[in-house]
Amino acid sequence: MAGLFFADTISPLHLIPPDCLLERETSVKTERCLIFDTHDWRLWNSGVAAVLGPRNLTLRSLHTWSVEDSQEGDTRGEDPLSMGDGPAVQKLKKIIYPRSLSRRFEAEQRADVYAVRNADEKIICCAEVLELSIHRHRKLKTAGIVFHPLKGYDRETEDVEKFARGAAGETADPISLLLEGEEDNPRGFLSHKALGLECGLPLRDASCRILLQFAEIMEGCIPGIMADIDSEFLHDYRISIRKSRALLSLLKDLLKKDTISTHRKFLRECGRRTTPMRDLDVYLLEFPLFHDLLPPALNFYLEAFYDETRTKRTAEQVNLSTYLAGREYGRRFASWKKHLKTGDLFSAGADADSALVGRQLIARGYKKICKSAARISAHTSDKDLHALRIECKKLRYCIEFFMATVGEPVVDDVLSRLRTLQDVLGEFNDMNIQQAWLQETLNSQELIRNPGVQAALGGLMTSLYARQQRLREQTCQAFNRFFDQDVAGRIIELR
Amino acid sequence: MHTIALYNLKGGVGKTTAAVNLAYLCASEVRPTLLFDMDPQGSASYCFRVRPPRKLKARAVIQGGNALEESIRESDFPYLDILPAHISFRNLNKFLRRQKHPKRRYGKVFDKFVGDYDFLFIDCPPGIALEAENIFRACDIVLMPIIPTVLSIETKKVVYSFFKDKGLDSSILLPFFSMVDGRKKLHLSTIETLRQEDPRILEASIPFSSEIEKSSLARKPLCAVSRRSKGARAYAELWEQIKDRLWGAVAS
Repeated sequence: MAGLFFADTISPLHLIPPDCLLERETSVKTERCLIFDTHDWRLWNSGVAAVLGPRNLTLRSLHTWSVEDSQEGDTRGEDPLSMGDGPAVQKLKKIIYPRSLSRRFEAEQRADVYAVRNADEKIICCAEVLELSIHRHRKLKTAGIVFHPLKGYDRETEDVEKFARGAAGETADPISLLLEGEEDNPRGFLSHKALGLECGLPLRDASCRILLQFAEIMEGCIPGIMADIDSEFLHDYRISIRKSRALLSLLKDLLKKDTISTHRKFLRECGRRTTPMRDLDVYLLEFPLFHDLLPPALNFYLEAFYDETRTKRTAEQVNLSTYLAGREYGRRFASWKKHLKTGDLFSAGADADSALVGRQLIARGYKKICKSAARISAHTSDKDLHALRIECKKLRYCIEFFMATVGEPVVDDVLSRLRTLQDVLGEFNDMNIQQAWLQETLNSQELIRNPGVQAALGGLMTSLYARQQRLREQTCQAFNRFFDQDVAGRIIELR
Repeated sequence: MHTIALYNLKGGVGKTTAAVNLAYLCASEVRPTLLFDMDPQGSASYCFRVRPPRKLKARAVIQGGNALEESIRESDFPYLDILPAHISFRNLNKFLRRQKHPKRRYGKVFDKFVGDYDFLFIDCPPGIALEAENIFRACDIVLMPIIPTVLSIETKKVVYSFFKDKGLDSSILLPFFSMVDGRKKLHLSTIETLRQEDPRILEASIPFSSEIEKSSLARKPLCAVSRRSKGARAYAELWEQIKDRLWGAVAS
């Protein structure tokens, strides 16, 4: 089955080869529905649309608009996740985890089914002609045609589809077509993951452009943080800060020291202010794991602890929102953006070739990690492992920034090895932080006077410690897997 | 899966039109049905507007490989698929003779469709060679249309004695009158005599009708074109009797 969607409503007659016939079979009347996705269009990126109709929730393929999963239920609450654990909701949760769903727009859909006959007048496929529009927006509409081949007629249907593709002109998925030109568009969504320096630009311009994009992501996340829609808004905000700081640190020799120090302080301050809330978000997300780690008898006491953590998190969210809405933050952020727009951050040497600078920085970072990692053993302290993790993170960011400009395949190899290594290191570090947090909680809280809660926290710490020790061995093995003589040689040659 | 063959030693007796209409009637009862056109003339395939695929050769049928299943085509009617004929099917007997168990080869070939289909209809070519014997051994019912004329009655006798000679189960053989012209005294008297002689002959008889011939022109089963016509009603009656034979009087 294949489908194509295009911007304007085109008569299906124009999309069928001249030696074929089209015969209308059925029509489905217009139906109103709600389209859901996460703030970062995670469903759209997975090629799926969540459509909440009057009686059911359907997950549709973005390419064919065909139903992949469906679930009947009460949709009056306009919340797909509250419809109970059916196949569609389960799949939805799996894709969006750990993000939350939000209603993106209200649409109207209509479908007509035609039989496509070949020169022998034999039906070879059914053409489902779809029309989607945004409710009460006549201008915002898209049409699509999906071909369902009859058994044994796949090749002939492919020929029909090829013809239709040529006749329809430019095609895309229905959601991005509907929202084209709108502010809230999946194609327009900026993700920190995809950002890197552009080829062919001087280092100054390329860096300013990418920093500006990070600033825009930060700006875009703030409404989500304040409305407390999804914990991932804060996560994205923090990654943008971290990546901006990493880039500034990599290019520190090329920056105007007096100008940049104020901004670096500002970014550090933003990071510091957001840490408590992010930590609490992570702890709350980890509670299902905590439940699994404890015996059922102690799980009950975890509830009180969970409520306490939630209360703390709510307080932190209010604090952070106040800071982000404040004049001071607004002023400093505006100044940061202004400097990025004018490019008035770099000293005279910043017009260097970004590929050359990138090669040097990557080789330097790799060498540094090699040196530190040579000392890693099963007895290395948590602090040293954490320091090494930070070095790995810096190298990863550095590669992500310069990858396109350097254009060496070996860099891709290092990046994928780094990602694997970081997964282990990240988990190891999480265990460490969670134990420290539980220890701190045991020392300070009123709630902890309850012996049941004490036992639950103690049990958790023990389990986390045991997991961490197992991870310690895996960390050493991961480092061994990371290094490869051939890769090391090629990276050193980059200089 | 029930396997029903439409067979007669003689050609032009209405095997194909019966196969096409019975398969259609079966599928219209939401029973997944496959019509296997084994006659190299390909008339049943023609009636459903299906052309033979390039890959489908006589060798593929005998070997029973993927090419056979890949050659199945969905018809324009729900639950009805067609396995079209190919001119190379004229060589089926030749290939069968080279097999280790040449008399039972088709049984294995038809087993491939079990699970996907509830009914398999086979439009057989005329003749009484190894291929026919294979089909007789693999089918639950062999429907034999006979025109109530002297020559047709003689061919019926030949088939009956073939079953006897080969030690085949003749209870699966169900003749029925086809192309009956009610205006001809000879037809009527032959029917009366034969019914008295052979109680196995089914009650339903297919009339000689221009509508049936026209349906081939429209390339659709008569039962789909004009359900209320005399011919269509006769095929429906025949189908009911076949179901009775398969499942007894309480057929679903």
